[in-house]
Amino acid sequence: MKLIKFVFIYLVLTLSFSGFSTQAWCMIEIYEFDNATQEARYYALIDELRCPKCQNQNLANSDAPIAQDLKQTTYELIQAGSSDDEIRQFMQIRYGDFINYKPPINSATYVLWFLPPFVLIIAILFWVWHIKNTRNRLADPVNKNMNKGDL
Amino acid sequence: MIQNQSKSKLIYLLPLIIFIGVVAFLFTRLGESTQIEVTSASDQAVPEFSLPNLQNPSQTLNATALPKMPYLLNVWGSWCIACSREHPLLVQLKEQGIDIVGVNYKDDPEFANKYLQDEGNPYVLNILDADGKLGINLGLTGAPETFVVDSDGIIRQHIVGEITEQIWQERIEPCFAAVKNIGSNVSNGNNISQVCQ
Repeated sequence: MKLIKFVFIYLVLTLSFSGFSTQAWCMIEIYEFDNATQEARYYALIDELRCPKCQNQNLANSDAPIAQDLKQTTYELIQAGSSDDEIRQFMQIRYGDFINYKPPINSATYVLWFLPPFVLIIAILFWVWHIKNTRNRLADPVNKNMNKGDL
Repeated sequence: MIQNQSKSKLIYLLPLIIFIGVVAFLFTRLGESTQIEVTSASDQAVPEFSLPNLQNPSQTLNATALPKMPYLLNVWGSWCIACSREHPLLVQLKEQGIDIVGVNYKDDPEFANKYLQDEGNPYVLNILDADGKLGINLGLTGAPETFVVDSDGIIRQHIVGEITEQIWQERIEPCFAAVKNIGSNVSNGNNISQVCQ
């Protein structure tokens, strides 16, 4: 019994230290940065960039092989001294606007960027108009009489 | 007074009208694919590379090694199941005289060469992209992916995923034929982007 236990532990240890297992299963990326700013930039970028393979995940949350590679690329570009915009551009050239969860403002994205604030403005205008209208109606003598009559 | 009332009634109908509009819009999208394919490589040149030849790793390949006539660029790996499903079709295309350049993507050269021996080799040339950097420059999302490249080295079509007989007939073959004709008929140039969607 003891021997079996020993062999098992031995196997687990050798397997976990062998090159094969680290290559095949070790999916945790460990990146070393020169300073905290670089690290913060890295995490901000992989949070903002989208995995091109998966429909709704950013690079940070995706385990797709291409996401791993793009994280690696982001790291390498930061180490090589690229600015955030240069990295975004690098990805955009290869994967289009889809790659970024913060798409640029251009003719194709006007609706995306400006429709929600436009709808909000319309809603506020409608609300203001509605309040004014009700006040006017209350101020209207006919309505006043009606209200009196009701009361 | 009565007119005013009917006007205000209309306003209360507005949300319902908007709702019907939204329903109509959503209805037209029913059954459509929600999958977004990232195919931004189209109309760009094949990215520069300097990588080993799979069959002869001591030889370094670059753009000068690529065919000067239209060809298919196929990204594959011996580990990739969808690649082995499309492989017989690639072999068939080779027999039809179509040049296919392989990008052996993130693979072990030993496994890759064995795979080609066993399954047949449809490629005129295989670029060994061990770390996937060429893949990223191609805007790859995974293997397999296939690109139609014209005689000037410009990518004209980007097919994400496995190619089937149907995709070949409906999408790739018309594009490939149009790209082939571009040399003899310059006015076809504008049609290419339409045919090669």
